[in-house]
Amino acid sequence: MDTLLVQYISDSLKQGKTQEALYQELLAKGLKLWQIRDLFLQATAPAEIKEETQKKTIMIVATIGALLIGLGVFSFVASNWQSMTREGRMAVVLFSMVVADALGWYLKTRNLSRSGESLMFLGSLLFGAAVFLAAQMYNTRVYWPDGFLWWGMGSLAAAAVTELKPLYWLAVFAGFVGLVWYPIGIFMGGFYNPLILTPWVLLIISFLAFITVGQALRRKFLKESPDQY
Amino acid sequence: MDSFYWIFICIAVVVIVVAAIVGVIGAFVRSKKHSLSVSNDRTWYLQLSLSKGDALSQWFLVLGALALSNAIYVINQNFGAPLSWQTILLFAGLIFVVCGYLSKSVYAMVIGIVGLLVWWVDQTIAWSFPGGQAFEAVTAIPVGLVWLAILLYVAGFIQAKFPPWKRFAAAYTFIGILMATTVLFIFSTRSGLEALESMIERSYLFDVWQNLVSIFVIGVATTLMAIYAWADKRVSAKEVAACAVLFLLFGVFLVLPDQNIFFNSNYELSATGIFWAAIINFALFFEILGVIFSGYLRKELWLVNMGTIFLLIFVAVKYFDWFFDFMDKSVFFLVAGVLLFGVGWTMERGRRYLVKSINS
Repeated sequence: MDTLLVQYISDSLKQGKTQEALYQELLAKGLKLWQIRDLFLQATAPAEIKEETQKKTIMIVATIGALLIGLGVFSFVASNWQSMTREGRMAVVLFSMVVADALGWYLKTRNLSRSGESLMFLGSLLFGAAVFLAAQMYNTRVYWPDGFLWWGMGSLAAAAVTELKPLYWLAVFAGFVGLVWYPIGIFMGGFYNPLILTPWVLLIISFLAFITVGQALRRKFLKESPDQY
Repeated sequence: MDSFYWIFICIAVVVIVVAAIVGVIGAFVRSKKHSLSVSNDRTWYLQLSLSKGDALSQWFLVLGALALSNAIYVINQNFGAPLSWQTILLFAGLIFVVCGYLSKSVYAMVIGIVGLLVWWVDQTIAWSFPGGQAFEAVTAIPVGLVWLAILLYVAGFIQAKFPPWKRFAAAYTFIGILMATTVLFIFSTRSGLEALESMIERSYLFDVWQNLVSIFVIGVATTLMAIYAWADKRVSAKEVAACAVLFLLFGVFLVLPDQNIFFNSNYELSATGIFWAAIINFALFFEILGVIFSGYLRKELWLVNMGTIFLLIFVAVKYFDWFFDFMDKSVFFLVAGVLLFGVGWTMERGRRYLVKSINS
């Protein structure tokens, strides 16, 4: 139905029919104003929409590929856990992270932005893995949500540099898990204070980082859409 | 103490869960569409986020406020916990509200309002049970919550006259209606009346000055806000009258005599108990109808839809509550089917009429 209407609008516009006339005609057919506006968007910019769909497909395929690579790295470390030294394990993860980020950056500069973004997303996932691996291997005395907060900070730093939306969302996810678990841990802990190991400086740094980025994004959003409150 | 505590924890959980579900659905439904423009969409203020950029920036502000709240808790612990955790919760609520207002972030504001409500309930419990020994003036909690609900409802309509704050206004009204309905719903059941009985049994508001002061402040603020909204023509005289009835109904609980009034010696509802149960159920029913008519008069479809959902839940729950035990099960389900069909038919017709009137 939508496709037919989009085609009809496209043909009518080519034949010289005015937008006002088409709006009135479609309103009379019972369509809502926002539906007509969507149809016009599709009819007047089909090339852009098609390109957008293709980009999304590439993004999905590349992201799945990146996730599989990440799984491969972890499987490699896990299956060779006994035979590898601590330094070896860390080296594999860190090396993979650096390669993913560097290759991602290279592809992005070569106008292969979707593939590049996927690899940089993989780099941030590997960074999170490195944080937890380091804490586990070196028996660091930390409260586990701190790991998510470190991961969130790292992803946020990467997002701020690259301005990639998926990295921002990854930072939101990691930060949310870490920060929401603190109050849950307090309630579940009873007399034991689970945050005893959490450095307050980390929380203050997180506060400053999240607020700064949030304000910057908010200013950008309001600047790009002045009619949005 | 436990039963009261859990009732109010349940209220907080219901409010938080509903707000979270609405938030998640709102955020994701909007993200699938094109970015919404305020000038092109009459109902833009019902969206928690207008675009992906809006949602992302709001999430970061929420995380920032959460990080600062956690930092205050950790610093407090490092200094030997001079502040109670209720005070930390108050600070956290205020941080979220300030953050929400300064950045016009609905997410932060909603979390802040819910946080402050949870703080007030918990602080009132702490005042009512000094050292966990005494048992005083806990009636202030349901009364205060209903009064705060009225305050939020009215404040929402006052703020709605400023276009940039319309999203906040809708959130206030939503939280207010949800809270009033939930409290009425709880006290319209047998277990709710049992809890109310226990509260009144050994409760005297003047015994705990903190509760007295807080309930006085809430009462005065609600009254002034309602008068201002009425004078400013943001709410009609009928709405103010309905709010006043609800206000006074719960106000009566504060001055009820110190005795068993709802249940007799066999622990069955006494005549007075049945009278109060009927009053509260009628109040709940008319409150829900009031929400629907408020939506109709204001041409706000979301209020009509919200009231309709509440009405459906009310009919279904009350039917089970009242008739499940003493009716033959086959008759019970047959009558339930016919009743629900009838309610559905009436609601569809009623809603269609209201929507048609609103659109025209």
